[in-house]
Amino acid sequence: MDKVAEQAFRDFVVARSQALLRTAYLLVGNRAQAEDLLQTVLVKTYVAWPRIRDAAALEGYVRRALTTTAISWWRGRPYRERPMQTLPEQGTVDGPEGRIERDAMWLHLRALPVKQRAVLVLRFYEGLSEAEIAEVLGISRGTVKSHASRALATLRSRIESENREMGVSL
Amino acid sequence: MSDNLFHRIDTTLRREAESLAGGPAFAVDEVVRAGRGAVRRRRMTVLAAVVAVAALVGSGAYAAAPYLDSAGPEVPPATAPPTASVPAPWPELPVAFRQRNEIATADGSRVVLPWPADEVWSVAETPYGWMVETSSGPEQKSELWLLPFDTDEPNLIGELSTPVFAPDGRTLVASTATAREVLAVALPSLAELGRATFENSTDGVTAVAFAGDQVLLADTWGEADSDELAVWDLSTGTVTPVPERAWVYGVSDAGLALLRWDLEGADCIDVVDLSDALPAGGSGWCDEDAAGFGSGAISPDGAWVYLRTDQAESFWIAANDLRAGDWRPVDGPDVPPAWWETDRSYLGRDVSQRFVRCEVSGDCERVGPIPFSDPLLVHRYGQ
Repeated sequence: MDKVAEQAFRDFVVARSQALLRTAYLLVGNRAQAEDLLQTVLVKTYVAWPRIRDAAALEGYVRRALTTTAISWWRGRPYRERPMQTLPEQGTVDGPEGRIERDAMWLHLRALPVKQRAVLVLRFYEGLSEAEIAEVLGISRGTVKSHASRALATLRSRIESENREMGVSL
Repeated sequence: MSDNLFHRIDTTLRREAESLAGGPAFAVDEVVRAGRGAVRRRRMTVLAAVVAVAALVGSGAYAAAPYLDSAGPEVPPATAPPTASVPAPWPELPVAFRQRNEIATADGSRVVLPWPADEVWSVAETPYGWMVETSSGPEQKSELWLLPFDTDEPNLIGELSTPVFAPDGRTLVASTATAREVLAVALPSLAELGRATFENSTDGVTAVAFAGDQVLLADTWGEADSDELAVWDLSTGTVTPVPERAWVYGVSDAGLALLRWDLEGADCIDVVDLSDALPAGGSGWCDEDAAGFGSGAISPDGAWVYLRTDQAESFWIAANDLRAGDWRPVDGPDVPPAWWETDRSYLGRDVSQRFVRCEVSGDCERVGPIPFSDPLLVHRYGQ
């Protein structure tokens, strides 16, 4: 890579690292793993840099690499290791009610299978359409729909169950 | 309700993302250095592959490698010489490190794939060579390779994923590119033994375990709470759906499957014999407190299981007669995930991700240093 291209890559890393780290964090749910994920993906991006021709393609490449790498990390684990049904408490800075609500939803999101969680992150946080998500994940639009639908059904069911116990309607 | 749910998801994700203060701890220089190294290794590999292809073509020795799918590989198989880019793992552990197209195994071997694969997902050692599962290309296409010990010529078996092997290493079953289909292949001939379709599967079927001629199939990309299961009998070709949904935590060499399922709020586990066509759940042991079993594993002889609760209060359960209801919690170390090396010892990872070898007595010792990267456990078959 020549000096001009390498400087452009450096500028990209400096400008986009914080935002990409946030996406990585939502995908893996843990800051240390998110940093590892992002660093791995940025090295891949460095290698691919000369082939990436415009900013839109660059964003797409990095987003795709983040999600597929996160999924493959999960997939590489032994089959028996599964998403947890419940997760330990996280430290927060909200007031008690907001904290409880946010923690509940975040814990449920983190407990989803990684592909389902990736679909929700891309849809709600990244604001991608079904077609764009299908392209990023390399799966059909139908599969995107089924992942989203299952994820939402799981979340709805768990929240309704909690609300019934608390006497609250969603 | 949907609008409210969508709003809560949206708000939660944004709050969590924004709660992450600052950028990454690594510096841009580190990324650039690693990137330069990756580019150098890639150039060396490609150059070596080109030289190898030229040599093979020039000598007339090149022949297409066997593969099962009609569409062949996009690039002719060729062999790149090993490089020293991946540190060798420790000899006392059955693990491998991988970096792009190179894999370093515990016995000092280095496996170099003929062109860079984006990811190596699994490595298994069979009597006939290394079996390596990779993904590459813009579509992250999964491929399965056999790399014989006595030659540098890798064989592309096909566009297959998530292989499982018979305990003798002579048969493998893997998912095909068709969502609901699995394929059985004989080793080392790579002859197709049969295909099965799991109709109840929705997004993709995975073979989970072998026991004799029985192969346990699961819809692993399905719902989070449990999997649709079926037993494929290779001798008859029949696929029998299992009436109850469950998670499969492993199968012993003798064909005892460790299952987990939810039963009216309680969390249940059971050990069932695959040859019994997996009777409906209910005969096992249920935790009424529903602590939740986050992971589990069964020893090769089926005498012990390891279970870890979601609250990380790990414990052993002595399993001398599990089917008769003799489940006895025993305190144990929290070193998930458990991978049984022998009938009485297993490998786990501690909080620093260092490997720990534990005996069923509860005695544990750390093995090797903290891994420099995420290692692959290498499963051995037919040894």
